[in-house]
Amino acid sequence: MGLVWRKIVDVVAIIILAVAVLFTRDTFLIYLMSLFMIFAIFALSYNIILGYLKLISFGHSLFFAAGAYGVALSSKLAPPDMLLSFLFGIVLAAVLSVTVGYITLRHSQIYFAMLTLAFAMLFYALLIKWRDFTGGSDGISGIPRVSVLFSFPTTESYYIFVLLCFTVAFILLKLIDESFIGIVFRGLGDNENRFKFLGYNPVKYRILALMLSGTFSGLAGTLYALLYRAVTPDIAYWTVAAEPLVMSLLGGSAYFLGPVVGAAVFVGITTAAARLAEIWQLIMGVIIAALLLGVRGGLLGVLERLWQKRF
Amino acid sequence: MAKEVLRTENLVKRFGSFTAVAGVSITFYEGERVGLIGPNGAGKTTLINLISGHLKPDQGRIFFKGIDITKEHPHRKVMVGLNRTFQIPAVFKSLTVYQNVYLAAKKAGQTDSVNKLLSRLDLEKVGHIKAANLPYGVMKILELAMAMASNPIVLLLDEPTAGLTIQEKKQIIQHLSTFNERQTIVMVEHDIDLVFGFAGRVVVMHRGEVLADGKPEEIAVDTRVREVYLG
Repeated sequence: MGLVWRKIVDVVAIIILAVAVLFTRDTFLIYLMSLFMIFAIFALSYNIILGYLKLISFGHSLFFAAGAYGVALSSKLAPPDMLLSFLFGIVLAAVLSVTVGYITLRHSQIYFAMLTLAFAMLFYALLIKWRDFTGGSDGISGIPRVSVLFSFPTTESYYIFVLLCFTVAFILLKLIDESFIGIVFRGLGDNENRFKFLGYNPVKYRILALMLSGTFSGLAGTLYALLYRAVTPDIAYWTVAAEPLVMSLLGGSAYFLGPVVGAAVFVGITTAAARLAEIWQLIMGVIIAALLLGVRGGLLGVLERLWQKRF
Repeated sequence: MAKEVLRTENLVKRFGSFTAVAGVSITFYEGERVGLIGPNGAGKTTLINLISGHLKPDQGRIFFKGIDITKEHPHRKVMVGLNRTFQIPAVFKSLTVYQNVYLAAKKAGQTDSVNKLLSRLDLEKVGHIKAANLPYGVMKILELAMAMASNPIVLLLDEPTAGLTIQEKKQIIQHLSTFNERQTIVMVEHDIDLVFGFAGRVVVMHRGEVLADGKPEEIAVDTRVREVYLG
């Protein structure tokens, strides 16, 4: 297999699967695949912090919600144009991630985790309390999927846009993973002392990592808001930040594709469990605990070990 | 006379009621090979930690080429030419050997020298292996390679041969001998024979203070040093 083909085989496989899903014309399946791609972007972006820097953030719900509310508010306050709202959502998430990073990333480990949680909850409280502006606990609905250049009136037509965004995000994040900056991030996560004693400023690179991570989380948030054409403050709650954490761990945070695999399993389990019973969170919790306790290194870690045993 | 590159003035570091470094004033010169010895708890590693910026002194100042660098962050100290290694090798375990050295060389703007350096330190055959999978001795050499790639003016080595076999110790010393003669090396070490063979100057620390400072042959016969350390 050629080197170029080996590098793009994963994204090509996902695109083929996504296009195949479109041809089924099954609205529910198309909706699920949209959700998978949005969560895959969210988990891949989260894994910049978890997989490279080895930090746990409970603040990514803030960036996700910033993207979503950026779309919703700009549609409400300015002449509605989906493309402008979409860009505004991403920029808002990027700005907030730099701001939060600047304040929190001088601290590490548990302090960073708790500070990001605090910022997520501050944002959540702001969304609830500033009712006139954000719609309070009702949120904002009726977000248009119409731009001067295009419109996506149905879930099926919007699916093409999600697929395009997913493909671009996937390629960009993979380029980051394989570039010098990916090596720098992994080095920083491995050994901060050595990192400093090579002349690199750890705080500067942590902020850069959080900015990239927050921006792509914001992208996931904008796509999520446009999928449902509505936002509610629940998406800013800190437990939403635990979802990409679980996805990354499920798939294997040490692998680039780990979060994507984790997102597929997560969407699959939550959907199946929700259909089974009203106690789906309990079922989900048991399955995740079993997977995490029994499958160290995630599903890709298990596959790698099996492959090494076999050959 | 050789030029002064690094000087400490009355450095003090306390941990609670214990004074680890008690007013150390010492000067290192260009191209020197210095052995820093002393019993456990003498303050050798703490002194290295203070100079490199890993710890902040409670008192005193540090000058590098005449400029006060006491309050500079470690990464800034590296950029002016002061680097160090650790007792337990500090490498990037999830990266390959090549990527480890490349990261160091990139910051120093010397990426062209990576392959040459790997070859010089007999690391080229393991260049593609993740550092986590290296034997301990090779990990120590890798850390040295990273320090060399950053092209330091002063290199502080904290027990570079601890835990190594005699053969591996010889390898480390051989690699150190390839350093540019204008680069200054300060080595904390417990292997006295190794220090006396390598260093042109030996500094002995005891209870946080400099007990003796001189040529190896002078230190070997110093009665105070024999009493507290050499026996």
